[in-house]
Amino acid sequence: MTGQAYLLLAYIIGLSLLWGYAAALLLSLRAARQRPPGAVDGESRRQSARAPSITQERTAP
Amino acid sequence: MNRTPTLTGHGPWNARWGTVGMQRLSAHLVRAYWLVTAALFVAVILMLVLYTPVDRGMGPVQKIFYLHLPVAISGFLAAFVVFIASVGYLWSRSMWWDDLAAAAGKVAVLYCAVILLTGMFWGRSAWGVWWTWSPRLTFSLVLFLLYAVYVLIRPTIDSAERRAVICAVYGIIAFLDVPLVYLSVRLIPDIHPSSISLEPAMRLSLLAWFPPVVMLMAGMIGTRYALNRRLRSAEAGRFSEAPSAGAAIRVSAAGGHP
Repeated sequence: MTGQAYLLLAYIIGLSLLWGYAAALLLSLRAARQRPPGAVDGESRRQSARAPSITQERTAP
Repeated sequence: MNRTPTLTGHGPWNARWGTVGMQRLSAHLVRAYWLVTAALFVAVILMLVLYTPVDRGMGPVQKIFYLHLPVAISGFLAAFVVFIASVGYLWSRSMWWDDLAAAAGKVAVLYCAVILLTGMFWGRSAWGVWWTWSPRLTFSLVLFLLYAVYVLIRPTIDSAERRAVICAVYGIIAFLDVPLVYLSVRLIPDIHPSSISLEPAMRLSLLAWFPPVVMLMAGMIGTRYALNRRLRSAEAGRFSEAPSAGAAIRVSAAGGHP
């Protein structure tokens, strides 16, 4: 490959990663703002359904 | 009804933290910030193509440097934000410091990945290899791995307080690698250049790349932080509205943050 190709690839990969993540964050924030208050998003639901906490372990029979 | 404060502009949030007008203003400012960042990126890419001279020794591949160095400095800044937020959490025990550290940790991983990838293209062209175990490259890889582990361990700790403490201590220790990356090339013989002499036009191009790259990093941390706060507030609100769920579940819910 030529230097020009390396240059192009480096910029395409680098900028795609940076702006791809930025776009994903902005879309997530936009979706979170449009969600009615109290609604459960997928991430919260997953997190809440995880293993019991320390307190639960202590209080469990 | 005693509604829990949210960040959506409904209920008592307005009375406590601001007004709908302020929220709209802040939304406009955020939009303007991202538009300026995007416009600056377009400008510096055009500058790179149309204005920046091609290096006589290395050829066009030398232009990777204009992205590589600002991304490296921005990655260090993101790691520094994790460090400051970690110290801030241990000092004040306020959860917003933890949310800030979590946001900056993710951005630090991303920037470290871009440092390594752009560096590999440079290395392949300049040294003939994609990777070599030189001190700076090795410490850069360690930095990437340290923050990747930081991001990976966060969701595995259920208790919010325990997670915040453990990650704060880890965030402080992980930052110790940043001076090593910076100093390694000066203290240990290395194939990686410690400094590069640039023509005035090249120096101007390099300086021009810093504002958009740093602004992108700051925007990402800010957006991720806003998401973290929203998630924490939503969790707290949901469980305060369901008292029958009990304190045990409340602890678990408070721990449910990325």
